[in-house]
Amino acid sequence: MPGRNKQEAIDSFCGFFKESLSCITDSFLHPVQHSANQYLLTYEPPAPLLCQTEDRTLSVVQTFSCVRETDTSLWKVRTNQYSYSLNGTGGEIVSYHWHPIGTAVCYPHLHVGSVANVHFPTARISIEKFIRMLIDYYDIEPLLADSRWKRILDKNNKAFDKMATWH
Amino acid sequence: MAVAAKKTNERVKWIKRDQAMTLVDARAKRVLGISGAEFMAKWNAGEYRNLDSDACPGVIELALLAPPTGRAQRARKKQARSHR
Repeated sequence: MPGRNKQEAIDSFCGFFKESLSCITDSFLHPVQHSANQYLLTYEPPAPLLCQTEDRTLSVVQTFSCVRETDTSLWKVRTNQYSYSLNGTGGEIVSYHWHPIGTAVCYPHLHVGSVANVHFPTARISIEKFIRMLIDYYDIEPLLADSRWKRILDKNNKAFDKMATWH
Repeated sequence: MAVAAKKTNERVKWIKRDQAMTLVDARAKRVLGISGAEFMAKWNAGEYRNLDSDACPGVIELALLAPPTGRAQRARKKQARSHR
């Protein structure tokens, strides 16, 4: 959600990001300010997830900056790069990446651990869609009641769809 | 919405800029077996440009965690202009 100033926009963004992640982990999320207008969110170490069958962890890195909208003068967060990964004891199981800065692959893509060396092109992925995929298909157990986590992910994904400048 | 966001911010802990390299160092040692400083030197020299998760699991996260250099700063500004 936009804010009246940079800090309000960032706090709002971090809050909603954390709210979505709270559906599957209660680990502390760490925002970092690298420079005047370069920030990132991450877990360090990767966040343990609840899974009945296997040991699973979640790695998240999202870099972002703040921009001021010309029509409203409100500040909003713009994502610059992301990496969302589900990890097992043998390494990455599935991960969504977008890292156009400094690397050869500039488009959003998917890695599947069992299919090596392929960057499957994707649309831009929200953290909410990634979390929903983990719950629906990778046996990750939500920490919240069904009615609550579904409502949170749906609400925040709609906000992403509304605010994202490209997909 | 603002109330919900504020409550979940209780489990959001800011890391200061001078602590960020500690984070990079810990991740670099775990993922690549090298120090954060060594990773930064190699990254800035373009050594990991063509690597991705398949060849080097965790290297992309490490690259995103690393503080941006002058070249990366210019690239991000260019990206910001193109995605407005």
